[in-house]
Amino acid sequence: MHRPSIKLKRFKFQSYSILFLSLNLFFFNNCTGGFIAENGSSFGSVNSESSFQCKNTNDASLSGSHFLSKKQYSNTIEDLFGTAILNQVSSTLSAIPNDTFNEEFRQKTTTLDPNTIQAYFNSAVQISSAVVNNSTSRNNVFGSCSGSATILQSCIDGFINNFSVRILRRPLKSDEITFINSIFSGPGTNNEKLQASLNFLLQSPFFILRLELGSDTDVSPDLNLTDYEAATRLSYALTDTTPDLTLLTAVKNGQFKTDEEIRAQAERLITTSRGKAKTQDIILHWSLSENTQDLSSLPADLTVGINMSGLEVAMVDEARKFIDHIVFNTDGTFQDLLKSKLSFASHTGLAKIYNHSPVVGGVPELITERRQGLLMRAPFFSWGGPRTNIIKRGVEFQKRVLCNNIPSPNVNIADDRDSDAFTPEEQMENSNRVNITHQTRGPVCMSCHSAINPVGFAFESFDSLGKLRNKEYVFDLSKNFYKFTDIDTKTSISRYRANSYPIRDAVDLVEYVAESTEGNECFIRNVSRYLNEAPETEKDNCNLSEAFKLQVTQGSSIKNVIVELAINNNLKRKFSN
Amino acid sequence: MKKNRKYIENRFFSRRQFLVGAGQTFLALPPLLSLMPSIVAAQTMDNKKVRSVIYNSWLGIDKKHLDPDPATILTQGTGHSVFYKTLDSFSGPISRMIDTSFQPLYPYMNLIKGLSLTGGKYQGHSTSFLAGAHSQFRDPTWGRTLDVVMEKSSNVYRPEDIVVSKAVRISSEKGIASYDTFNGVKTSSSYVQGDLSLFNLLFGNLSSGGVPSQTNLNNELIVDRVYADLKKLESDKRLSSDDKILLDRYITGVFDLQKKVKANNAGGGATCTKPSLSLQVKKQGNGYQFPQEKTWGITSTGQLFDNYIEMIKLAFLCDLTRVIMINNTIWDEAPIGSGSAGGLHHECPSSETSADRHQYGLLKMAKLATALMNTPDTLNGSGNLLDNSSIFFTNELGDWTTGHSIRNMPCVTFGKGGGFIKTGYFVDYTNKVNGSFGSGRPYKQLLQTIMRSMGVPQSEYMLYGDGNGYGEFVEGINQFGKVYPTAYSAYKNEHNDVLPFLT
Repeated sequence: MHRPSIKLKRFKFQSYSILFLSLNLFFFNNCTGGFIAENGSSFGSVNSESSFQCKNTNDASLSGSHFLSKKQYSNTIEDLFGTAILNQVSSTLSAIPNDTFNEEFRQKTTTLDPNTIQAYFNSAVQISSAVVNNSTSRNNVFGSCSGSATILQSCIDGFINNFSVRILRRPLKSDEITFINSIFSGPGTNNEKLQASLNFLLQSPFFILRLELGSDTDVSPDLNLTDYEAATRLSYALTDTTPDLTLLTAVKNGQFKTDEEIRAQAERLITTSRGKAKTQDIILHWSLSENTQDLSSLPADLTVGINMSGLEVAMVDEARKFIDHIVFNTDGTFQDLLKSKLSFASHTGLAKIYNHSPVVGGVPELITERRQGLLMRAPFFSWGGPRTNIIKRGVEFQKRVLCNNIPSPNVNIADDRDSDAFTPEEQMENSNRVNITHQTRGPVCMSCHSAINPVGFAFESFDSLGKLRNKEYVFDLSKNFYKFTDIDTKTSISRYRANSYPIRDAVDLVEYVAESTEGNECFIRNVSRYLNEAPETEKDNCNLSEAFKLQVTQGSSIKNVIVELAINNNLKRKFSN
Repeated sequence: MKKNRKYIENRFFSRRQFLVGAGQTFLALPPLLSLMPSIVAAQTMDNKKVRSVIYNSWLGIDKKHLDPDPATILTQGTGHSVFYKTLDSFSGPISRMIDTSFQPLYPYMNLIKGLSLTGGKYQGHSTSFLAGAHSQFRDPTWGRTLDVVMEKSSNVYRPEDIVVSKAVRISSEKGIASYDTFNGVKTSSSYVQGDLSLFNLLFGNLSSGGVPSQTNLNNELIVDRVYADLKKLESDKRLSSDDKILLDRYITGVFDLQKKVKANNAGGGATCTKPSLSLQVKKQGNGYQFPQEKTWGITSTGQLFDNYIEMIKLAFLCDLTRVIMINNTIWDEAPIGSGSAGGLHHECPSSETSADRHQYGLLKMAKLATALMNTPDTLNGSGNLLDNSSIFFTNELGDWTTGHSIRNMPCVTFGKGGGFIKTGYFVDYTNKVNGSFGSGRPYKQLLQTIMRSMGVPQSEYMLYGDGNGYGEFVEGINQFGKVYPTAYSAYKNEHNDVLPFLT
């Protein structure tokens, strides 16, 4: 087995660039992502000391309140009112902007515009109408007493003390209770009153926003969260939905106070169906596998013999099953995630791509070819172009999997890069690697592409479908087969120093991620960002450091690492910025 | 101390605070019309409500199928290389895409040739063409598409104007070519998919006319209560500065909502009632598969567009919105059959097939134009809706025959834009006199013409660009290895103006 034996450190390009490039160039680029092999010719086991410097164990992340993302809103509505109600309002919900992610975190406030507020309003009106006009849903929310000719105060109180708590994720305040009572004592039919009272709660800022205000006696933004607020934070972090009845009941009964009680809830939540889905989302996002690609325009030569029907969706579904198996069925580790040779491809086309028989009955197949783990699966490799997208693979991998900064190219740099490209006719004569090497050969381009290209080159043994190959198909401008070129995946992932580290192909690169401090740290950063919906700051270092120790030193499971990051010792605290 | 300084530097200046401040300034310093430029004064005096529809598609049109035969004899106009011919002087079809069925619209229509994106040497597939900039898979750190400029302009929507939505965007894709950048951060606009979503957005809150229902009265009560809760929260000392930003955005949205709900219950929106339409109802799946998702229940995009057209007409008539953007790459109707984005170019057996598919969208805009032309503009009190609207049909790519070109972008307009736009012409702006590359004028001048027709002054749209004015202006062009450093030099001093001849 290829076991690297030296330590690598992330090489911050800014620190050294002045030695090599002009000051002007320095300001154009802020790439990180080079690697320095400190000694020897191969890399070594993970450095047990992470770069997360924990200076003050009382530190906690700077907290800001969030609004429910589209997924969180939909999940919450479904879990409160049922799938049928969610389906009834799905068209209205479509007006809420999609959740948008960048490399660091979900963009929180940019989509909260008047159109979105209007969409929340429309949704609340429609949901409350749908619930009230369906006797089953109405009884679930208001109790069967709501069907009586006269709605008694006891019925209203039941709604206020039970279902309303589930909606607002805390007991109602006295002025809110007064308002609901005033609706029922006002004009209108029973159904209009029921609808209005539900509509009020669904439009409340305390429903749509996840405000963390502590107790009424707090007087500054630095505060201790109430147990209800902490439970809400934990629930959305681990399950992307509202606290379930079990969690709310625990809070109500004072059983969400000790570390043990909180950990028990977290360990329960992560294994719920929502918890598993959220875990899959987190890991898919980190592994660049969350999106389906349109493969319909691939040349026939690349897809011959492969069942393309539903293939794009099957790729992501298989990755989900793989994650689920590693994290939940086997309580696996980060190493397992990157090294397992199991496949769950039941789709005949995907099974053919992975070169095994289709999975039957959920029993995984063993991948026998030079492919392993989540980072060498089809969703990351596939795209609609006839030739592989070396730059995209390299950039995304550097950003997401290694947490290196690869800025978008400056306009002038992009100009230079484009003008250096071979003509389309010339490109037909060369391998993709040769073309990209030529196009990005300029010193300015190489300030970032020296980090981007090696990663892309290492993955060149996988075509645009994610199929392992030993020859590259080259097509003419009409996408007809033109010729084969050789594949070359040998590369080196270091710069500027003599002891660059040679890698043979993608397997070596993935082994590096699994074994290096940088790869382990970046995974933890990704999980933290996703759970907190915010980029990490120095104040997160203590929590990140603890998670790193769990993952690396103790070899703890991914599930435990995620739980640790979610329940960190400051779950109940909020600090101002 | 340091913390306080940072807070002050980064202090969020809310829209409401701005409006309050602007209002006080306005009260203190009443505008003197005699000191205003004539064009500004004219816009200030004229409260006409003008509307704009922008229709865009992707992957280019072979311009030989849109433009007339190059041998067509044109008359030279004034200014830099303006040649023209009135549309009604063409006999028979003008081109493959503009056949004789367009004839009734000729008095309201323009076919424009010779407008090109400027901005260096990137090849096409511009993601920023509707911001008057030329990017190819790069995101400018500046710029604002024209629909966003109009949406956010207080010269389009005055503070007292109450509409359901200041801009409505409809897309068949997972995105739309509409964006805004602020401090280098690009934010894409939200959009709806399908006729039911459009219906809910525009008409979801309208009463059925007459006395407001108890439900609508309750809605008003609830929105008032939510607004009061938010105002109470606003001064809560437990909010962090991030919390305050979030809350301020929320309050702004609820403030707008409150006005709409009250206006609706008070009989605002003139005599508008919910239209009775047979809407397509999604059966299952998510909202982004429309209409390729066969379970949606769609049988014809013709019916879909008919619903769009009816809703847009009513929205304009009732002043529910004044800005509409439509991005469509889907069709499923005889005689051209069904297809989607890829079929516009890469899968087409010929450019004729692609042209026919693009003509489908153009015909739908002609149908919308006809509907607007046949509807008296009771809101403005004179003319028809097309007199006071513009419809702009365009594409991300220019001359298809030269690949990913940004030259000679497809441009067809309908409507007089409130009288600002002269119509009835085929105009060729190709620079036959000076330009060795024949790229003609900057495309952004047409965007600026549309914005000006809506009341946006030049000084306002010039704020959103590369620092030289709206969008992006570079004198030279370099595409496919051909370098012409002075291709647009003739327009150096006028690229922020509107199009000559047509205004």
